[in-house]
Amino acid sequence: MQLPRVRRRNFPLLVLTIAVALVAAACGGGGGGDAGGRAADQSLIIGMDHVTQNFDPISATATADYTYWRFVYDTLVSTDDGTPKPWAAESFDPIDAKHWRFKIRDGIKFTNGEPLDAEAVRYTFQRALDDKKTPWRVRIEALQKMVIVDPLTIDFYLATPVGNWPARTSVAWIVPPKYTEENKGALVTKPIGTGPFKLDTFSPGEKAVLSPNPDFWNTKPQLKRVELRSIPEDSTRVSALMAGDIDVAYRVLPDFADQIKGGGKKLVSVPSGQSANIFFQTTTNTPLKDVRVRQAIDYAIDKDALRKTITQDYGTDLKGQLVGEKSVGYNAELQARPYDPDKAKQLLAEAGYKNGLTLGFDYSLGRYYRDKETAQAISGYLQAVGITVKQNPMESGAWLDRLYAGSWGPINYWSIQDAPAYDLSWTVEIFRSDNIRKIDADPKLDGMLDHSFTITDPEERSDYLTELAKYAQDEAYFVAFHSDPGLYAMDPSVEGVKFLPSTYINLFDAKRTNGS
Amino acid sequence: MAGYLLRRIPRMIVVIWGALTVIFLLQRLGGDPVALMLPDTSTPEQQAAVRADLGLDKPVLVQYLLFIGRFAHLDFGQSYLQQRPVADIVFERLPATLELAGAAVVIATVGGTLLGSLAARMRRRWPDKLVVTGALIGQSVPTFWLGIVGILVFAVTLQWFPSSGSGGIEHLVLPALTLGAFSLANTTRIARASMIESLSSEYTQTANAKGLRTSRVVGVHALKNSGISILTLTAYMFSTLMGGALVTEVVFAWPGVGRLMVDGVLQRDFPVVQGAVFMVALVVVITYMLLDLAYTFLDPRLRRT
Repeated sequence: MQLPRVRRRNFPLLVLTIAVALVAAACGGGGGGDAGGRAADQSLIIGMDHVTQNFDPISATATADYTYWRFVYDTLVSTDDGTPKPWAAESFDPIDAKHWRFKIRDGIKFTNGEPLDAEAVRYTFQRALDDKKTPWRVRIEALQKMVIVDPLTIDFYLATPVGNWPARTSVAWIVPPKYTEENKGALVTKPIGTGPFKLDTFSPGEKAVLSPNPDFWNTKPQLKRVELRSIPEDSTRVSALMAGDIDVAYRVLPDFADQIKGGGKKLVSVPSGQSANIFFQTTTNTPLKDVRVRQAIDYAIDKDALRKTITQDYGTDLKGQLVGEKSVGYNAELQARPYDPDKAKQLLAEAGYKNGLTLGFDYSLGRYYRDKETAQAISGYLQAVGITVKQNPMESGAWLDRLYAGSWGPINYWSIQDAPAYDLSWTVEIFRSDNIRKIDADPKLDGMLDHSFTITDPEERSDYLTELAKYAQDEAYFVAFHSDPGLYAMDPSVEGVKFLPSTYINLFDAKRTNGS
Repeated sequence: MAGYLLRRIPRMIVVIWGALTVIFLLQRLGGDPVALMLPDTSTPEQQAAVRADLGLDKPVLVQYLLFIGRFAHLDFGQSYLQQRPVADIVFERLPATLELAGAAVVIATVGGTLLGSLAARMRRRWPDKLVVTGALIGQSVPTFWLGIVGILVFAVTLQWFPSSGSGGIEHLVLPALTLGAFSLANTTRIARASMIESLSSEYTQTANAKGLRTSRVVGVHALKNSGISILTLTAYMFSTLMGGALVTEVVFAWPGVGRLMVDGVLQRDFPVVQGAVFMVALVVVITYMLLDLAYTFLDPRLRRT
């Protein structure tokens, strides 16, 4: 049977057309951002890959949160330039490797009026030590007692020598004692600090809005308002910049570099302190106990090709070292083992594996930058020299469980962060014989590490650590590849924003211009 | 009515208990949350302290009984990361997801009904073919791709809408269209099929024979009888979109419960995930309860049962 014919009036089509027109008229024009307006107001919106959920320095759990805390809090020492420099502390001196004296700058006040003095420092460190859950407690656990010499001088007494104690204080964010005690839990969402900014509004995990601290003791920021906005999806973050909805896109992937440059935005490359490496477990009875096998693996991998492909040439060649160029312990004379598959096969033959061998390879999926792709590429190189790789890809939590249980590998892909300590000893501690990860059991390495902590003179310490770097590389306990790319994109009207390998953002000199 | 509601409450409790039990077990299969919370360089003592503080050192059965006991008192615990009550966190985010899902449902229901009606009325002609093809594409395209392309076209190139985040209605358009696209396509096809059936029925022929306007025939007689299908689909869509908005929320940085769940899963913040799942499950069971009530208004035959 036939359906009724369409008449001239077609009601559903008419309603649909009108509805679409109304929606477009009402909502259209809502885009385009307001980059010009924000520039005039000295306002800045930074699209972040994540926003902290917690401003309390002892209860938050991710080192990426330090990026946020340093807007609001100060530390005694700054490592922004690579070596520890006085910050809230006016000076720091070793009495010996187990006893350090810090003098605090006079006149620094928290935004609630409390002074940043020796008592505030003592309270901060004690609070962190008392709570075993403090994430950075392991960095200061050698602290045995503190003595307040005068209102602006504090002595730290350590149970064991810690030659880089000043660098370790760079993760101790100083909080106001009275406010913290009287308002338990308040620091989470209402932090009070002495930093260049104060927190105006905060939606945990979503957005943090800052304004300059009028009482900041150092160079006051020129910006009037800073919004840190969470846009976790990489393509959306770049699109938001291109659309003018934000002024800075934090940590963009190399895949978007051409789009950013083509769209008239600035692209800044800062080598990341996060590096790609593989580690070998030599504490179990595997072929990797033989240094020739470890060296063979190093020769088998084309590190240059890996860096160019994985990081699209935005990563830095680490030259076979665990730390970057400006870190204490970086040995400028060291070079990475070159790509030499024939040499790799020769070493394997000498070690008795002329016909090849099989090794397990653990790696996480998505925990680190291109971890899966890097690990698979490495496996391909090893296969080419006769090493059959049994790949064990796993989710982040499972990978960590195996790492902490010491039952991994014997090859493991692990990305480690050099910053903010910029000190080789900070990284090499994981190689200790008594470390639960069971990477190595080398008494000589343990001894060298222990000795490095007894040296307080920075230059002497640096020279000694370069020897340690050479020894570790000779023994091939690891293969270091490259640093992760550190790309940041911004509107041309943004000037003076400084990004650091530690993921920190410095806004001391930041300002908005007319973009010409 | 009161009796009906009283009979539904035990069923609602069972559904919510089931959802919570499944999420409790699945989370614990995902590995130790303490390992993810602390830095790679944490010590065993530190991990043990955190585990004890969070009650994760107890046997799983004990953890489960404590967990169910707390939920029975509507105590959702504290977020591991934010150190704040989970209830506060979830209620802060819930309105955004309700807004997004609601907008998507409106788009899908109204748009799907209109498009389906149009296609049914102009069956086998080019508008029908266009609508059917569009519906097929809408059901095939992945949400995240649609969202990203939508941002590139409408936010970056045309600059009609903001690229991300929440705010005024202009912020809602792209995410709602993205989230509602699949449901719009689905509703269009079902509305078209239902409308074709209704328009072919004898009561429609009678209405036409009486000389009624097409708009009345379609909008009153045919649509009313298709209404039950469309309402059922709407309720189903809303409950699905409530839980399935997380991809859209991540793409558009929309501050809803979906993103909260994603962050909670990635960071092993168990209480937050459990609280968010509870809230979504509650909204879903209430939705279906309201649907059952609505049936009785639409279909007089059901009022007598």
